[in-house]
Amino acid sequence: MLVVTYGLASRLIDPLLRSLLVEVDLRAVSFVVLSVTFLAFAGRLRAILLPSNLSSLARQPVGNLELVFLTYPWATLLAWPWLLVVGFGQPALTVFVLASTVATIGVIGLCATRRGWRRLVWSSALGASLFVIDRHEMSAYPLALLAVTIGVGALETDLHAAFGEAPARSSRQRSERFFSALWRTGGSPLAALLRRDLLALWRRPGWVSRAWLPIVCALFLLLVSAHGNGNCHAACLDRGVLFLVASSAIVCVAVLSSIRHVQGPRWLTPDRTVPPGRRLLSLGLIAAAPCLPFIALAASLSAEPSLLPFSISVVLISLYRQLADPDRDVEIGMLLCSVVPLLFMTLLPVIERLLLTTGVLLVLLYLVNRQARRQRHASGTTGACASAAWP
Amino acid sequence: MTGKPTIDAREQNLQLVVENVAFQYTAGPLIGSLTFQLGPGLHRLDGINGAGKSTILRCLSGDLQPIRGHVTACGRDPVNDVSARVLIGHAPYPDDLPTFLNIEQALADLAAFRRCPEWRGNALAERLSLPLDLPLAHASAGQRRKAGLLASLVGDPPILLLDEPWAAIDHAAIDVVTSLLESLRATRIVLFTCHGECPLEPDTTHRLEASAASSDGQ
Repeated sequence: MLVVTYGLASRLIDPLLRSLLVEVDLRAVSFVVLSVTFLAFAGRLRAILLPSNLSSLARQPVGNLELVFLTYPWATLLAWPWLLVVGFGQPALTVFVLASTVATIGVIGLCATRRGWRRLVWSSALGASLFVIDRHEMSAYPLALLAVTIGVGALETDLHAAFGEAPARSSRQRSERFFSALWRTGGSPLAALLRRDLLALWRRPGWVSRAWLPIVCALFLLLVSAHGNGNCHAACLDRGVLFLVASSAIVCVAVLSSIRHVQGPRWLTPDRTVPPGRRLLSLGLIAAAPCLPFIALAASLSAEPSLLPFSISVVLISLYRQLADPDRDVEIGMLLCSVVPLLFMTLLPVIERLLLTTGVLLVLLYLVNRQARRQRHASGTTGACASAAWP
Repeated sequence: MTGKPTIDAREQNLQLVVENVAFQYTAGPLIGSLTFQLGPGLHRLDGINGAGKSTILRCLSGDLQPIRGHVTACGRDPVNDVSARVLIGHAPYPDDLPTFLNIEQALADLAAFRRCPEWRGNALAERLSLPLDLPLAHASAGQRRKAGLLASLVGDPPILLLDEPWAAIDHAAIDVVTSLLESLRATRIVLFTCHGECPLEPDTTHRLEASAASSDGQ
């Protein structure tokens, strides 16, 4: 009787149970978890992630749900490496999706936590997930970049305070001798522009505090290459060095911003006898200078053929970014988003990659030149208004 | 001053030709148009406050693009040809010297930009009692005016456009500037603006009205 009953029951129940069983899609689960996390932290994320031109939205009486729709696109910009990981797919999908989800949640936690032991906990979670992931190809770099972009970003305030807006009086006096000697050398117009920019960078050294991002990336890359980590070989390192160069864009923009702040509205036209092209060249050189160690390191670690045009593109993007909106402060997320699409060029064959980077370079040169012309016209007219009778 | 030798007026085709030059700010009245031709000597640009004298000087120096007309300095176009602007020394008022430099550094930069890095204005600075190591951010209005005048002389340009050269400076400096301009009368074209009594006699005066200009060479 029991056997018959069991037999009947199993014939009835088994199909029912099987029909109820859903195959778990890990990506879908992680997406849901991320969405819930964004929702939970939406209020704090808004203040951190909203670009300054949308900051007025922060004062609008909108509910949390609406807020998620506002902040979510910007928040996902910061979580782009996670999307990369999921998008490209990896050999051990389960490990990667889980670990990258944990990492992204860690990032959100770090964003939403001001200070103290909670920040430490979030950082630990982030570090643990990175430890798992960095044994594999590709995902290590975007996630490391993500971690340092947001996680270590908290250090920036302290770094900025350490470097300050201007050097201390004692160090300024020490530097006077150096700069006096520099000015006595005379030199070419280009040299004069460069030493003037150099002095501006010394007077406003806050840009140094922005260098943490490429420094951490460089250390990570060195670590990975020295230990022959996991299955990270040639192509993996090639992408890694491009990430390193992309991360130095933040320093380029900070350098240009410091020059703009010290030299004022005439930073593009220091004198009417300076040709615009020469000024743009000097700005490009001074913006690229802090990135040179990172580019050199990248060149030593990888034989990526598009490294040079990519580096020039990064400097040009930074220049364009600063020319387009010189008064706005650097936004890491937005800046990286303008640089990161270039990384997808690495998916192309070498010849097409070089052709494409050259095309991008030419377009960027045109855009920079056009933007500089607009800025010069605006600042020239403003200056004239200040000294002339007409408003 | 040391540096480049005195410019030979004949060799340099020393002329400043202004043809129908006018400028207009957005939603502002038309400034000019102005037509005259200047040779070596001291020339005064006259007009009431707000007539647009400073703006016209900026147009002639190549700093502003006129909405119409042509400027020719020693046969070259300073508006469209950047390299021709070294022929013109311009002292706007107020000056546009960079405040993050001291006077010596600002002058050295200008000398480098104008490809005469060996130029030094120490002698004139001494006559004007102007300390060259003074940061421009800490300079008084009179000191900035003196620095601006020195800056216009960098590279010994054959044409000088001086906006209110005697404004804000002390009596001793007024005498120095006046004697300097007198010494340049034969070898340079000096176009200046001046309110009130002018310390020296100009060779010609050109009047600029608020929306129209007339020239009356004297």
